[in-house]
Amino acid sequence: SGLDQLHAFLGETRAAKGSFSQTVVGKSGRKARQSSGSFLMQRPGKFRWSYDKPYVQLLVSDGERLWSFDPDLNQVVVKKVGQALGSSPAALLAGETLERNFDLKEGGTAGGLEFVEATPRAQDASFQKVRIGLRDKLPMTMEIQDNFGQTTTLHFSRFEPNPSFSSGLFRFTPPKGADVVGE
Amino acid sequence: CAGLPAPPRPDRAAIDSFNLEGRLSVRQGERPYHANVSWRHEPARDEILLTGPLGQGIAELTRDARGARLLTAERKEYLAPDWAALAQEVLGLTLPLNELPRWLAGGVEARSRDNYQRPRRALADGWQIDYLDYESDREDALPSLMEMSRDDIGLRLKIDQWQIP
Repeated sequence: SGLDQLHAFLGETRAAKGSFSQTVVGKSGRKARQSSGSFLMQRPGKFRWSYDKPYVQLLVSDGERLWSFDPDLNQVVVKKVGQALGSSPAALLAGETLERNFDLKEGGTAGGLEFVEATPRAQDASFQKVRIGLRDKLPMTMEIQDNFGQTTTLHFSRFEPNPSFSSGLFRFTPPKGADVVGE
Repeated sequence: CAGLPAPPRPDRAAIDSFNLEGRLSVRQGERPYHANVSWRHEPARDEILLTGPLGQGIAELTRDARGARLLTAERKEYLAPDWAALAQEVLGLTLPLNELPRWLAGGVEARSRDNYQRPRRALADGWQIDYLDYESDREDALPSLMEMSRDDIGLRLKIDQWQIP
């Protein structure tokens, strides 16, 4: 079942890397926005989420701080992760105890995937629901519905569980001349 | 999208409606704010949606004849007579939201111009506006990277796409 696969993923996959394509569909006639990139993650809470199309944006977290870097704006924003990661979609991949932050229930099967629906317990979460599609105990798709009628769909590819990489990848050193803001 | 041929644009001062997609960073002292922006502007109505990198909505600002409204991701709603009051009341920021549409299109009294005769720097209402890049080398091109600063507030806006109806 979806839940079995998700628990297996959380238990057996300590780390993962792969690529993703992302489509954001807004309400009433907003044009869908496509982007793509690659990701690394390591439990608990470490991830590196880098967009390279249509422009470069990088999100890196060591589980305590979250750096978000936009080269066009030449700015790095550093934030304490704290509760923010707890109920963010990234937490679903890189988190450990999901039950604490999400209500999880079966989401049926379709297209060879078994689905889980995760609803954040926190009232002030920035999204309503996430639907994760799994196969072979790995997430293949993630659909995030926010509070503004928008749906983000992520498709994962080349998902490699438990690769070896240096944990230094989960810290971010701002490039020279970049404007670093935040704690 | 740099590859797209540069579309001819109407005269800057005549632009009164647009859709734009971009990225905004606002900095007040050490307080950062960073979001993707999608803005639909018409003389009678405005709708700005601020989203995070994963596309989730952070806040939606709307303005029409009745006034200005801010809806946050946590579904809190704030109302105010106009945008400037809304930004001041809710974000504690004095933002030139009423003038911004005109500034974005470059409809300003330029203090200096670049070598294609487009505005390079302007001063308005105490704000310094710098046009750091344009979407193409055409004289009627629209800005693609801007910086606006006043006191300890700095706005940096990268505009990825303009649509002029």
